[in-house]
Amino acid sequence: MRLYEREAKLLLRDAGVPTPRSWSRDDDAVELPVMVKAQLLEGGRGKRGGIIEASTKADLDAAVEQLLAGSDTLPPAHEVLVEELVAVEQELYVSFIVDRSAAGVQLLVSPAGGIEVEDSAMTRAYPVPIDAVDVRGVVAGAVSESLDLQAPTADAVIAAARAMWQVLREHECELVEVNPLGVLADGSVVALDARVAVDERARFRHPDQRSPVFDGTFEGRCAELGVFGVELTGEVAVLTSGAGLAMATADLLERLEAPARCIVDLGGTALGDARALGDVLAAIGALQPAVTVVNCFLQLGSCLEIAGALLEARERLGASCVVRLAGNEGAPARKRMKAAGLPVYAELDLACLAAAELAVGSRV
Amino acid sequence: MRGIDADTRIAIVGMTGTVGQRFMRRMLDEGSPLVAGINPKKAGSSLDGVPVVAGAAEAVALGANAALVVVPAAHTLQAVRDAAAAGVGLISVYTEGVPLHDALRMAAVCRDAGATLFGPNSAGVAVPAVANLSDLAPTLLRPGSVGIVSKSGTLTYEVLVGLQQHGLGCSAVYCLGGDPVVGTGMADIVSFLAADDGTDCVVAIGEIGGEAEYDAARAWAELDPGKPLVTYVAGLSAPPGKQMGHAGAILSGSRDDARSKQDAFAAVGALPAYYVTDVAARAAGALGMERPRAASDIA
Repeated sequence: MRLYEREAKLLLRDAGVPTPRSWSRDDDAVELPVMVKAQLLEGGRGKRGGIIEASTKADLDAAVEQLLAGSDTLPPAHEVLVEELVAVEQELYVSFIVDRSAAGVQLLVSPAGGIEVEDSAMTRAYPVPIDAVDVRGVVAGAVSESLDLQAPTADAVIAAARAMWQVLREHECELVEVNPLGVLADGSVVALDARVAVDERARFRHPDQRSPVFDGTFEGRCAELGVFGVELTGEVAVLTSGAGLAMATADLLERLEAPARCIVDLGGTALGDARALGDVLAAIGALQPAVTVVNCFLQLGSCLEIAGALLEARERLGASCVVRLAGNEGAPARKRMKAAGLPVYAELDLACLAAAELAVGSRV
Repeated sequence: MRGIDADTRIAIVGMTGTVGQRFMRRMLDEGSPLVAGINPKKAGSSLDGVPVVAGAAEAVALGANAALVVVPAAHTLQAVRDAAAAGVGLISVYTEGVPLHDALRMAAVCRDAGATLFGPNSAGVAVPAVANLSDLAPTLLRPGSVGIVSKSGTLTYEVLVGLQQHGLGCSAVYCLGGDPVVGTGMADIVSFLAADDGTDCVVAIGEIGGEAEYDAARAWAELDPGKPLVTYVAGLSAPPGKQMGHAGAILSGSRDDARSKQDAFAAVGALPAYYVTDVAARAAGALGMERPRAASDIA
């Protein structure tokens, strides 16, 4: 779960990373001029008009109103951050990120912070053991090798990076990134922007962590229901018992010129719970797919359970649907579906063909 | 890297739970070499004749050298630590929802102990008629000569069904796990199967996101084993910028789409299958067995 910049900076500040002074948007004690920053998780916020400089109170109020309302280029902001204007001499890049290929954490540093720093040849990576309590050695080595800094600034960067590591460990983050880390005229540093992503699966160890914000998107609604969903632009809704199977089914449908409207991964054991499945089907119904394909291949879970749940939630399945059930108790489950008058298949390719035919038929 | 062989002896960590018992019954039915279940609260008892012991050290004393971990996510790291410390050489974690930092620690612990870790969130590993630490039903595990390495459990099932339709069986199945951080990468297994005498053809099942397929392609090119490699990468239709998998990539680059990965495989001599339903035919063709059997032949 990505945190908003304001939340990320609070964690960093608590750990000892210097951040710009900030005020709430209606604070009369605000010291102008300020930057008004839309709190959005989308990238390219600055380029799209999400950061506005304000030198009068009237400008400030107008900026807040504009960012909260959204524009042609930017969705409405969840909140705004009002920060002091900071003049910096240099912009660095420092992050700790989980590297899935290496099954480890990497420290990334670059003397040239800013946009697209990840692709820059100047960005260097240093592996950090997850159980390192202090990373002074790794960070000091990285700073001296990759950043050409005067002594007080080097020390300030090392201190900031050590504090960032503390945030990563304490809050179980996938990413702690400060970009840019500004260098001031006096040699000190300040985190001008920050991205932090915490691991939702570790939430049980972090009871004070906020709940995810379930926005109005299909993805958000699915997350709220405990399944993984992605909205796409085609015609066929795809529900499966696995993320890989969801993608593979969408690929087959695209080849048959009946692309997916959405994919939903019900999870390895699928949903034997008719009410939960009904809620997922209702969310899918809101996307008005031409056809819904339910494709479950189960090993430990039971096809009979999912068949029962599907029949119970049948009115939400829509008139145009195809079911594919294979694996554990597949044959009796298919028999039940057939008896109930639903088109059901054991084979993936046949189910996709049937769905594509229905989708094409619906266009006439 | 430690694979499955005739000496493999299995302990199920969390055998007395609902999922653990399902695995246990299936292993007993199919004749997988299960020697112990682990649950400190029920140590000293037994279940269907299988002894339940307190920890991995006791299971090792009974001969165990491979562990299937099915305990809840919050307890998985401890279970893996215990198994690795006891000298268990192959650990497969079926549990899903394991915290990311725990997965990082597991990977580090197993690296240090010299244990081979699959998962978390792996459908498991199996060699037909030898040992099955996966959720694959024995009906899917017909012995044969195709070795499978996969990022996805469900797509492994699809490929196994397809292979059966072509009269083919498998020499080994290694599911890596769908989580962002897993213990063993695709390159390790591709290399392992390249050297495996029982494997005449390797099938690698990948997904969009991450770098694993590139590592595997590089490993294959270096080994040049003189047997066919059939590759499949799910997510050909995925639009750029959308996160399609459950856990997804953070270090997402510009080349982690399906076509780029298949191009990298093709460049090292692999035979790409662009749709999952085409994988088995590709493997059959590579092995000189073109004729698919009728669907009605399949149990």
